Amino acid sequence: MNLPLYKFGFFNDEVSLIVAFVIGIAFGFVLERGGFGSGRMLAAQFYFTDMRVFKVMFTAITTAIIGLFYLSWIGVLDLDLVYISDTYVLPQAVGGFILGIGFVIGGYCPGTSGVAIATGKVDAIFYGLGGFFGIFLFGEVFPYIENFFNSTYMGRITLPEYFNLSYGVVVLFVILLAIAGFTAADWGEKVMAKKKSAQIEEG
Amino acid sequence: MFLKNFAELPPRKRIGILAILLGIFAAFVGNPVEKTKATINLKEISTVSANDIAKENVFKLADDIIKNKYDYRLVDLRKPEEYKKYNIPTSENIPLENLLSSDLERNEKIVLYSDNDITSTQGWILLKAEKYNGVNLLKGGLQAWKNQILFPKCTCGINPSAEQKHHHAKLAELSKYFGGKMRSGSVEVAQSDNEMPVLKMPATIKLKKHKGKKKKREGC
Amino acid sequence: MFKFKEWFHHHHHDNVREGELTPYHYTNPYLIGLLLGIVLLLTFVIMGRGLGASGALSTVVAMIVNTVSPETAHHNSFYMGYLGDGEHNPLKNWLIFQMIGVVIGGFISGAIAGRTKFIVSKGPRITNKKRFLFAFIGGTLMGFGAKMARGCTSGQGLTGGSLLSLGGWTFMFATFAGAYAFAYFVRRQWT
Repeated sequence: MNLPLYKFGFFNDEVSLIVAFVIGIAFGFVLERGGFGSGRMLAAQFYFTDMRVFKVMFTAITTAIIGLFYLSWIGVLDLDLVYISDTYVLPQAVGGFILGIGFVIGGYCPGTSGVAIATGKVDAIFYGLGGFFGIFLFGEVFPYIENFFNSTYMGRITLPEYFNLSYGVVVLFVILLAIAGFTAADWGEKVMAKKKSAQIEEG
Repeated sequence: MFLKNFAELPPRKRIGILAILLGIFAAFVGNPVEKTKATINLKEISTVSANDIAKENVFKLADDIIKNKYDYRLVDLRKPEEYKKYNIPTSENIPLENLLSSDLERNEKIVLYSDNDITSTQGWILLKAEKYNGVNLLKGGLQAWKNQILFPKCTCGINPSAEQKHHHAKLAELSKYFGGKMRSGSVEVAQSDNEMPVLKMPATIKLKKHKGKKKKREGC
Repeated sequence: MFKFKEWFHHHHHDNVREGELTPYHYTNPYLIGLLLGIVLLLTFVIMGRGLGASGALSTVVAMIVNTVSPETAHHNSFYMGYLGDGEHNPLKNWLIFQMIGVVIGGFISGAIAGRTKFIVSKGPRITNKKRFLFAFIGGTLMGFGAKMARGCTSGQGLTGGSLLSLGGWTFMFATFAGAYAFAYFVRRQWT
């Protein structure tokens, strides 16, 4: 068992920055390949015309979940050493909701805005500046919302722990949910495409 | 026949079925890791113990502390109450049961100590089993620290030689630095707590903050 | 099944003309998801952590605030968390280097596909100026929300999601909920 490599001392902090850079390149490349460098493409998710945001994210999550589970099972990965952040349910729900609003209004999320700027989307630059401003605002009001920010702390709790199911059962649920979701997404896209072509015919 | 039908399905459906099979198998596996088990490399542990490699002696430790040479983490494995009463300067308190869930890192140099060698050896085995590479034991533990640094025995006889006097003076200085004092010749071992005055950290020791590794952010 | 050839085919016309969506030159989203999942898995396996994005933005903001007005930065525990204890440069940070890579990787992919062009990504029913305003507002909400949620879709969503973190999944549901809830109000911007 010697994964994750960094936690077993295979390389030092300096090298980890190079690793970050290379991983980032792969990340950005894949995102742009999938059309995530275009705000309009991303926003299409929320009008049901192109559900790729959901498809990409959920496929990625499911793939990683299966990988983590099985690597851990065969004993090469020490899952305890993989960093998982703490859960603060309420701030994360509220923050997520706000971020979602920002996503559909602005058309990007932090990662995709980088890809968009890289491919010349001028609006993404404004989005990025807005992002800095939003973080700055948060920093300024932080003393006043600090209590809320630290509320509903649940530690590093995972879905299996919370629902009292085994890890493997949750993996199965996620896979089933993914397949159901993708089926629905593909169907939704077809319906919207039909509607659009009907509209074009009429108009 | 089933495989033939499978191969005729579009790729998307094939992946979907494969994923569901992986999921069902995962559900059967349940939890992939039993957190209470570990693998110990027996050969490595027995050879290292025999060669005395992983031990650090109290004089070297005292020397490092005085010189502010901090490339290690000194860990006190005792209970917090005991730690509060007295601990070797620059040590941090990580009771044995919290050892594995602490923020010790696998590539750091760690020096473990406890009252004696037993608990620290337990700690050593635990850490070694979890692949920590830099674990050392303070030979003799707190006993050795008390007997040789804090309350060293005066080894001089009736007519001490120049060497012995010199050695004696060094010991005296060392023990004074850490707030102890020399024992008279008749007292064998500084054992009971009653004998230990309340020891304060020598003012000259600056606790260097450990490198920011502890505060490293891994979030997003 | 895997159209690798497509990756290296240079498209001479712009795939994203202003106001147009032409998805067929983008790779199949399921394949992209699989690749992204592999990148994510590799990150876990090599670094013992996942991907992220908003943290890098926060570090930059903290640096800017510190440069402009060090007293403000030092009195605020939020900024101090990103500035560290002064021992080393806060920009020597895993996420910063990752994000630099993201920009470069995105550029490479766009360049290969002929998708690098200064355009404004928006629908036909809105002006550029309005789009910029909305982009800024959206970004502000995103920044605030990301800090509140302790992450963004990369960190809490992808990473937290794959680790089955309760907070991560909550965040994801909330994000989609918020986006769908407000989609109606900005439909003129996109459709």
